[in-house]
Amino acid sequence: MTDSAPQVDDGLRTVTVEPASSSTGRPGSSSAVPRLSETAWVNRAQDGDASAFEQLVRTYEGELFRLAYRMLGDRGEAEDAVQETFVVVWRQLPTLVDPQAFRAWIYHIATRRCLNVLQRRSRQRTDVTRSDDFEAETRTQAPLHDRGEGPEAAAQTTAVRQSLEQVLATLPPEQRACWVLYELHDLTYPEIAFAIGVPLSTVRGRIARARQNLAKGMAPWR
Amino acid sequence: MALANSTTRLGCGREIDEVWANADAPPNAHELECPDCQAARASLTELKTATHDLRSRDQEDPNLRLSADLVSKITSIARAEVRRGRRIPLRPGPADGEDADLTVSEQAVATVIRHTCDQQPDIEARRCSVEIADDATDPDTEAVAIRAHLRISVAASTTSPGRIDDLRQLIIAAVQDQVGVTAQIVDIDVEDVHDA
Repeated sequence: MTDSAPQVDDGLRTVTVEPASSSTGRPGSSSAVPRLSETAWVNRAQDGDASAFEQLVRTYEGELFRLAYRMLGDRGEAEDAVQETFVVVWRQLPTLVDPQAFRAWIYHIATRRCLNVLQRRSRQRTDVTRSDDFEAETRTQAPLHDRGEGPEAAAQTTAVRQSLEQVLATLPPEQRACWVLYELHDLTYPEIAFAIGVPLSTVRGRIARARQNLAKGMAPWR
Repeated sequence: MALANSTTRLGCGREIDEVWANADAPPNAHELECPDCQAARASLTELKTATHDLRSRDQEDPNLRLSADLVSKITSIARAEVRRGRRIPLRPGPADGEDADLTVSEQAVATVIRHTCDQQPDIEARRCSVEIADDATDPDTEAVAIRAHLRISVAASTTSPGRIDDLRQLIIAAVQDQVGVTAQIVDIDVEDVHDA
């Protein structure tokens, strides 16, 4: 008998124990989700537990989307990149030797995907990070930490941040990737070297050049 | 700030990383005198502030995450491709006998085992594999016999020497009750210790 007989599952008690219908890990039933270490969730997903994979998706979707959005500057492309990343993660999870390396591993997959998208992108679209979509979202609401500042100080803070966003979008992709991973996602230099597939010294150089270019590029807004 | 082209070295010879590393501290003797370093400090301090601001804002922005629909789509793809493993017969007998269609997936049995562990506050189930035992039928009950291999982490506060044996008995009972097969061998490896 093979997996090609789902009606047997439905007709037997297995329907009560398959991961998809288990009381653990269903979306929205957070009270039933056990508190486990990430290693445990990764191990379970490696064994084919879709509920455990769902937990990992929920844990990482936000930060991977922010990475993809800062790299690609386009919501649709960022969503595609993150979706493709998770599908690759699910399919390749059994090959992950060290579950504690999960975070660095998914950042590797996501970053490579973003860099591939940027490589394929036509020259006309290289400044897409300033798209209307992006501008609209960044202006919809004042950041929480601006509250309490005077209007002039808040406007100044917003202007400086927006200048950073704009200069960041003009950096070469590999430089931008290193800077974003280090400054916005707390990856270490060795993790970034693994994520991008370059030596540690290259990561160090790219981050230094990114800081230099950002500081120089922001000068006209001061 | 005066920067030599294509390097990260300032006009005065210092690396920009050195200035960055000291940007939160008061200027040192060199920086008090050097116009290159003073200009670099000013722009890098502003960059630091803007970086912190961008980071906080991105993390707080509810728009900068996947939509619920897309999260559901991703998990649906995963469930459609779920690896359930081989089928374990629920009744002993020949593969072409009348009960041959009554099977359960290895994945389903593993789920029962993990769920049993989840009900123990001091046990964290990790990898779990299930296969038909060498003696495919339990001689006492004539039920199908399986062998499970489970790796767990135990809470550091757990001191009972019989804890693993207790867990094994709970697993055997749960598999019998919920699946109807006999967990003839349950290998349990404690691979880690965690804070409860």
